[in-house]
Amino acid sequence: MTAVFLVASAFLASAVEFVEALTIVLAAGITRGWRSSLAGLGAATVALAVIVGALGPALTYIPISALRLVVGGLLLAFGLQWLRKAILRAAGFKAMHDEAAIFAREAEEARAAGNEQHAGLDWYGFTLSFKGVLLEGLEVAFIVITFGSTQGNVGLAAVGAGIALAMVAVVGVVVRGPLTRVPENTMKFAVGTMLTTFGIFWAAEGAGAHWPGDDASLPAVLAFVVALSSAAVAMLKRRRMAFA
Amino acid sequence: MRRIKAFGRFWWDFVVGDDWRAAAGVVIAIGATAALVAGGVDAWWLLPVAVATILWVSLRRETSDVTGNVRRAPGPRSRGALPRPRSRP
Repeated sequence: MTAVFLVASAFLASAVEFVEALTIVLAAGITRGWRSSLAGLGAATVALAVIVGALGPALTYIPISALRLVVGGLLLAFGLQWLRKAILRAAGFKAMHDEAAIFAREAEEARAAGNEQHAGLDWYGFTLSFKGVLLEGLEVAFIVITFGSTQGNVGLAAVGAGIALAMVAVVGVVVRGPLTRVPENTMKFAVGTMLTTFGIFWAAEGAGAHWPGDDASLPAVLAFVVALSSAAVAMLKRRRMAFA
Repeated sequence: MRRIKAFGRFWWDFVVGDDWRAAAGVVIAIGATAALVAGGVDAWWLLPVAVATILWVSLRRETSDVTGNVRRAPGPRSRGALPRPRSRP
């Protein structure tokens, strides 16, 4: 059961980040040329591989309880951010994430930028693509390393991220435009509930508490977080209607 | 120096985000769980309760502008219909 949660969480979280990275790479490629954009993508991928290669094995030397305490705390803080914003979007208090609008804005900024060349590459296109992929990729790396190392299976978390990367890349090549049909808020809602669930579970274990039924209590924690979030959305919608 | 600051800013935004109180609440709740466990209480139930409370307080704070339940002094943010988005996700 935990393995399924692990792969599903890594897949969903990574897919959201890859969609955002794709939007930036497409904006840079279409407006500034594909050579520079793809060079930025490649350089960022190498940088990410170095970071993950250095950090991943280092984490295995940390005692598991300390790792679960720190990672659980980080995931909880991080997951609550996702969940809070997804709840606010679902209740209508915050605008939905619009990949088409972000693509249009990035493309406009890229068109307006000057034309500086370095090593035969358009520097703006390269750095836009590099920074976008590196930042989104760091978020994926954080999720894969923390999820994987805490469960003692970085490979399984990487499989989830890899499936997400392959799917987004294939769809990106086919569509050749921003992935506007991805139900991003729904995905973010799911990711927020899963990150918060794992955060609660691991942080409590890291602090020395024992869950009734051990790993079997994980679905119960997930059900609690989903119920809590759904209740929050329903309540905020009512508040919004009352004050509209 | 500028790059170090930007790097620190990235991780702050990434982990803590725009509501540091929620992150502080998480740290306090984990500390309280550890303290209770050290005192012989198996406090597995504390974090779910704490998360529900933190989420509730954070959402109330974020939506207070829209519902008119403003707790801070009037300013540019309290005039708008919706709170402006500050950071990802």
